[in-house]
Amino acid sequence: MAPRILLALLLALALPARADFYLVVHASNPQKALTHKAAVDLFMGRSRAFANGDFALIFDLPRDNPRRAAFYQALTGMSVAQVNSYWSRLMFSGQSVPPQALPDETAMLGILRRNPSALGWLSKEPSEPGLRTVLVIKEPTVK
Amino acid sequence: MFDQTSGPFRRCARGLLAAVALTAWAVAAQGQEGEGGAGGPGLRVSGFGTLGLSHVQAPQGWGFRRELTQSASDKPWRHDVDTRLGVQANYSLGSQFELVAQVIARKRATHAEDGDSLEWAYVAYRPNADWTLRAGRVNVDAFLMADYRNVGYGFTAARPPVELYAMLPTTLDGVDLARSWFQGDAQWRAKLMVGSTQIGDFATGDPGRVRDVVGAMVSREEAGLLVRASASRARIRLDLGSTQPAVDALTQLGGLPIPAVAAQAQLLRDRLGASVIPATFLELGLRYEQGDWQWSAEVVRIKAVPLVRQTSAYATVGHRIGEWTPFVGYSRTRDAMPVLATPDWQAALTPVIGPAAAAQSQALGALVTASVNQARVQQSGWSLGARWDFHAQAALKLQWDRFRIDADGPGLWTGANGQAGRAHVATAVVDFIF
Repeated sequence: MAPRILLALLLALALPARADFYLVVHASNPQKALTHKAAVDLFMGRSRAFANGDFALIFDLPRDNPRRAAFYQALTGMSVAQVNSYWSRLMFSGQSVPPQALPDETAMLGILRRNPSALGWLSKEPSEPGLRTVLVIKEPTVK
Repeated sequence: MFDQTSGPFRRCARGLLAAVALTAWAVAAQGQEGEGGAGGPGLRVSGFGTLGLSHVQAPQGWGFRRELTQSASDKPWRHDVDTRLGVQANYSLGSQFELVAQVIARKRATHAEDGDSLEWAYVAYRPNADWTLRAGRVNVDAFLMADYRNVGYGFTAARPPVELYAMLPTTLDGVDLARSWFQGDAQWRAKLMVGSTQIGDFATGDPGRVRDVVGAMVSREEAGLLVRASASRARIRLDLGSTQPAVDALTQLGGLPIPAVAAQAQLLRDRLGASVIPATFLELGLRYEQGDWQWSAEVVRIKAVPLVRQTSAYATVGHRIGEWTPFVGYSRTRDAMPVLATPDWQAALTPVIGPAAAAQSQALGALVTASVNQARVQQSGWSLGARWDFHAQAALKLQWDRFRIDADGPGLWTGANGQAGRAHVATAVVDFIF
C-alpha cells in the first residue's frame, strides 16, 4: 500500500504545479489581507469597499483570457456562464457593474502600480515591492 | 382600430431606433475614453436580447401575452412574445456618481406610450460604499425578478411566470434610496422608493396612472439563499373617458325604487366608475442556489378594491447537468373579487321605464358585467423546459407551458371570452448578452 501512495505522490510532483491566483493591491493600500469571502463579495459586486470603507476599484482580465474561467471557478465555484448570468441580473437592473476588464496581465500590473484603490488578480505572484498580495487562491484539483 | 398594425410596429421601430442611437452615441463616446474606469470617468455599453418563437394552441381567437403591455394576436406562431433587444449605457463620474440609461425595443400594444421604450434613465449617487440614492426612471424593486425580467440570459426559464409578472409594473419615475450592509456572512439590503408608474391592459385601454407610490424592500442573502420582502402602497388613477356615459346610466338605474335592480346597478357603477383606487402590493420571494440546484418561489398580493384582490404565487426548480439545466415550475393566480352575476332587469324595469329603455338597460348591464368578468385574472400553469448554455454569452431555452384558465378569469389573454379554457405554448428562445 505504502509504495503505491509514494508513487502517486511522485506522479503528482512530476505534473506541472497547479497555478494559483494572486489577488493584488498597491503597497500603500491599508488592506493587509483579504479573506476568501471578502474577495468573493468584492469581485461579485456584493460589496464596494475595502475593510476601512474606502471604495475599491476592481479589475478583471478579459473574457478571452485562458485563466479567467479557472479563476472564477476557484473563487466562486461557478462556471463562466453562471458568472455571466449572475452579472446580467445585477448589471441590467442597475445594481452594480462587473469588474472592468483590462487587456492583459501587463495592463493589470500597470493599474495596480498606479492606483492605490485598485484590486486585481494575476496568475503569477508579482515580485515588485510596490504591490502586495492580499490573498492566494488555490486552484482546486480537477474532478 | 385601424392603427392596430401600424401602431405597435411604429413603437417597436422607435424603440429600435433609440437603441441604435444609444449604441452609436456610446461607441462614439467610448472611442474618446482612454483607460476609462480607472477612478476617472468611464463609459460602459452593454446589452441583452432574446430571439423567440412560440407556438400557441389556445381556444379560437385567444391571444397569448407575457405582459399586459403587449399587443393582441391570436396567430398560432408568434415571434413577438419574447423577442426583444436592450442596450444599456453606464457612465461613471468617479466612484460616487453614475448615469445609467437603458432602452428596450420590443413590440408594444396600441395604447403604450412612446416613452415606454426607455426602461431606465437615472443618476445614482453613492456617498459611500453602503448607500445609494437614485433619481429618474428606476425600477420598481418590489418583486424578485422585476429588475431583470427582460434579461432572459439572467434567468433559467424562457420568461418570468406570466401568472405573476404579466400584471406588474416595471419602471418607477421617482427616487429610491438603498443601503446594503453585512451582518456576519449575511448581506442585507434595504430600499425605500417613491414615485409613479403605470399599470393596465395596454391592448384595450389607456394605461392607468399609479401615483404616490411609496414602497420599502428588505432582502437578506447568505450562502446562496436570498430571501426578500417588500410592501408598497399607491393610488391608481383611471381615466373613465368613454365609459362615463355608462357610469351615468348605471347611477340613474341605481336610484330607481326597485331594490333588486338598484343594488346591482350600484355595484356595477362602483366597479366601472372607480377612478381613484388605493392599492397595496405585498411580496415575499426567495431564491436558493446550492451546488447544481436552483430553487425560487414568490408570493405577491395586490389589493386594489374594487378592481382586484389578486394573490399570485409560483415555484420553480432547476438542476444543472453540465451545460444543461432542466427545470419545472408551477404558478397560479387568483382574484378574490367576486364574479359578477349577469343582471336580469328587463322584467322588473319594463313597467317603470318602458320596454325600450328596459331592454337598453338590460343590454348595458349585461355588457358591463361581461367586460368586468372577462378582465378578471384567474389561471394556473405548469412549465417544463431546459436551458442550454451553449456559449459563455448565449443560451438556448426550450419550454413547454400548459395553462388552465378558469371561467371568468381570462384577463391575461386577448380576445378571450368568459369561458374556461386550456392552452399550450411551446417556446424556443435564444438569449444573449453583449
